Amino acid sequence: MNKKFFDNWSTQLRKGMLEFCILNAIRGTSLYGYDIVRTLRDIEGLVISEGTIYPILSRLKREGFVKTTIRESTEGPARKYYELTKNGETMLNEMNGYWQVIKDGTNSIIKEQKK
Amino acid sequence: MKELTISARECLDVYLQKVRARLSGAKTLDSTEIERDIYEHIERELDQAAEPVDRATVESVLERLGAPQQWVPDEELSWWRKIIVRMQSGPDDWRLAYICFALFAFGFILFPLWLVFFLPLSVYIARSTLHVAGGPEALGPQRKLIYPPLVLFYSAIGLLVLLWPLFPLCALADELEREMVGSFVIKSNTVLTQVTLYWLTSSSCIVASMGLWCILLGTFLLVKRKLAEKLIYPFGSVLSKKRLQTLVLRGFAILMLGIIAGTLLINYYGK
Repeated sequence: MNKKFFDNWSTQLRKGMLEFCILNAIRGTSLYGYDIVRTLRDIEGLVISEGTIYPILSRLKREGFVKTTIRESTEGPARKYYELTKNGETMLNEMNGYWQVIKDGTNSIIKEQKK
Repeated sequence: MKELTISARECLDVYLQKVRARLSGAKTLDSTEIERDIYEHIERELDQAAEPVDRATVESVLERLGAPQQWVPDEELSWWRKIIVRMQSGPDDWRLAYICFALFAFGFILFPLWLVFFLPLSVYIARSTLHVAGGPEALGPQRKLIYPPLVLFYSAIGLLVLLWPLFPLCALADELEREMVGSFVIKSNTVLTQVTLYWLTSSSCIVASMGLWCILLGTFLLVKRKLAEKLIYPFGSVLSKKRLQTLVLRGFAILMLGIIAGTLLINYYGK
């Protein structure tokens, strides 16, 4: 019962965090889809199923937060690179601000509880 | 893509089919693009593997990618896709509920067959759905799919049981018309003919008989209420004691009405 509750909770938490982390990973750079996966898979507990990142990227592109460019690659066929649009930058700034508020608030509650 | 063993290739093909199937119903996603991304991901993961790449290596890559069902939440799928997904992977009671409704609704196109085959079959599956779910309370929204065939079937059977005596009685009255009409002697100064009086009297007899049938049926159902409730599960509460007693009382009233009407007709118009 506890495990089921925890699994549900952590799944919900990861859903929002993945989009947030993808946008932050791309910020200031252009990344190939596979590289985004490799970056995020290092964050423990964030990526349970690597395939989930690609539909998220597709959705972010549809929302206008990321754009793709095709570049030739020396390692094989041309690759698709993801980078933030202006809208994406604005949204990410808002998300980062919100995250900071939530993080600080949550951390203060946890600290209170530990006392 | 690196060279794969036959088994590895089969494994990959099956996986890509699942990817395609899951993404095809997604409303807000570019399924072609995602499929291409997934394929490239797999290619990159297999870059360092020795050729021919074996099934175990491919399986470990696909395991990390995860099942395509996890990528697209059900809410993003179009309504028809949700039905198919539920049919393929949902719990038994949802699949049964969809099959039940499909047989009920689409079997209608083949109407005569619907009556004798699809409707009873959908009722059977509806009852199975109830059994699998453990009762109507556990069913939830599936009720909307399984109740229509049950309600229609039980209502039709109920009406048939209630009204079936009419058919043989009317046929009997028709049969006896020639023999009995002559025995009706009409008083003078009436507008009724022998035939009309016969049919009015016969109708009174039929009404009285139906009243008697309602009494018998109501009494039987009162005595064997549990059996009747099982037969029309889960709508057994329709046959409450009060309703059955009402049926008996109304039957009595109809019987009396028929007898009185028939007696008055004979006395007033006949000799």
